[in-house]
Amino acid sequence: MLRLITCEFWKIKRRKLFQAAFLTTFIVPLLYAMILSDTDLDVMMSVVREENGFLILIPLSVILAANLFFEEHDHDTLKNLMCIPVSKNRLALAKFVVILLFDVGYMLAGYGIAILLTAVAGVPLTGWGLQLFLTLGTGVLLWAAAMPCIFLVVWCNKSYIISVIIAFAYTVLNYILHINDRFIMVPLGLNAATFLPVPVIFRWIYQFHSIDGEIMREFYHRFSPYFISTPAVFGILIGEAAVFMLLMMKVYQKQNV
Amino acid sequence: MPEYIIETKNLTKKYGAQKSVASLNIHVQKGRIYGLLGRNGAGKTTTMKMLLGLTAPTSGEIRIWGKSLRGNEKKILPRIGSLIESPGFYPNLTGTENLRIFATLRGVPNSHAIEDALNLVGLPYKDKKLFSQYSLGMKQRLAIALAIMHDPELLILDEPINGLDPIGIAEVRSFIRQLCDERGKTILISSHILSEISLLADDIGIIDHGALLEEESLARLEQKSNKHIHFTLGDTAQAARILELQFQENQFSIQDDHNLQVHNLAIPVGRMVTAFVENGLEVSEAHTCEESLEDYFKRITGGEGIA
Repeated sequence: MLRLITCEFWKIKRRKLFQAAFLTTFIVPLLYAMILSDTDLDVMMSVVREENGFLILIPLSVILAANLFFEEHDHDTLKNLMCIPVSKNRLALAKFVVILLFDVGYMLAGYGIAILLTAVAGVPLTGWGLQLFLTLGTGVLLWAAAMPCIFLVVWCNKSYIISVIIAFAYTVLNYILHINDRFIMVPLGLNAATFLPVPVIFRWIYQFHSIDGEIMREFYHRFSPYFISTPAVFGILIGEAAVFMLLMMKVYQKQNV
Repeated sequence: MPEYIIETKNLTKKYGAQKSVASLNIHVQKGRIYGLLGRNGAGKTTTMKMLLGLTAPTSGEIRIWGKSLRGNEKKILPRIGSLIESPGFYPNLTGTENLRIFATLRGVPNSHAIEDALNLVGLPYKDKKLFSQYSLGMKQRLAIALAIMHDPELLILDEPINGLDPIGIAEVRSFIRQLCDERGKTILISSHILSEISLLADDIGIIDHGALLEEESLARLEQKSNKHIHFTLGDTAQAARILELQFQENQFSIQDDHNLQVHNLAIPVGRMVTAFVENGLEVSEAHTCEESLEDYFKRITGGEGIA
């Protein structure tokens, strides 16, 4: 398995798409630091997790996954792999791991730049350990959050343009729902709100926000009964991701060489 | 009884109602080159894909090294090197980098395997040129390097000379022959180019519309092809009478008023020419004709020949 993962990384060598995608992690924190000079680490990290994560990383994960899955067909390399033989399930698993490592690395890079900018601004790096844990956790959860959409892309097995459209539609839908009370202020249970990835992540991460101002305090108070614990959020989203990964493996298995 | 490395029994592949391969029974002997000859779309690639487990047969059985392929893929496939259809590699990587990926996944123990394979096909090792910048011939050579890199006992090569220039074709031909003669590899090679197969193969299988029409050694096929003596003369009816009366020969065919073929090669041509001339017939041409493999192919497939 380790060999397969190593080879997946070799395959993306010189791929501009992956390099450019990674660099986008620096855009939002840099813009934020330029516009607002009185920021603290907690606010800066919220920007990294929510703007970078919810808006940029999810579609990027889907596009990169589409790229990894389609490349074997596009370049006719799948037959070479099957003749070794490499199992399609293990190959798919290796690609999921690459996306996971990309997502965690992406969030970690965002964390790094946020720490740097905060330090340069002379603001104390209070709670950096908690912020690191939350950022790494968000990286894993966003990877899981992208799985339903990656499944859709692999299942459709269409062009990159279709993948991009699906990815952006999924991202926008999730983003809109995470700021809608009807999807975040719902008790956990067998309801749509429990299984919508981004609203669920938001219900977990918001409890760690530092609260500043009356409006935020009122919202925090109203929202707090619906916060989700760390084991629950990981349980729900990793479980969901596992189901979609299994479905994807089944679909990938059926696709012709 | 010869030892078969590959043996198929009633191998069939259907796509919908259409049979791409129909009850195919091929027998590839150890240490020999087997040429699968057929037109484009005859079922060669589908057969090879089934032999490599890339596509599942609709019915029938594949036995490789005496074992059924089904369920034994993990034991059988690592011992095979293959090239199927066009060369498939990652365009953003160099030839060496591409081979390193497959060598790593195969767990090739020889650290010089990549360099050796590239040297054998005449490609530079650790060259900076990306696969996307390769010419068609270089791509084909890299695909051959991939097939031989892990020193397999059996090679399955689908149209390996596609895209090569005449010098490249000759090089690859002699290299394939060498692999068989010097390293004892068993090779199954497909082509739609008859002249290529006849220069390389020890045994030939002729496939048409998915069915195997003929399976013979090259030597036997050459024996089977038709030989005759062709005459161009004044009057074929009179010549026929001379053959019957003077030579008691009836193995001949009249083409038209002036052309006649004698199928019994035992009668000396000179004697027949003398007899015709003595009986007042003007003989303008007399020569021995041998049906080429192409003519033979045309005859048994009932259609046009292939180059």
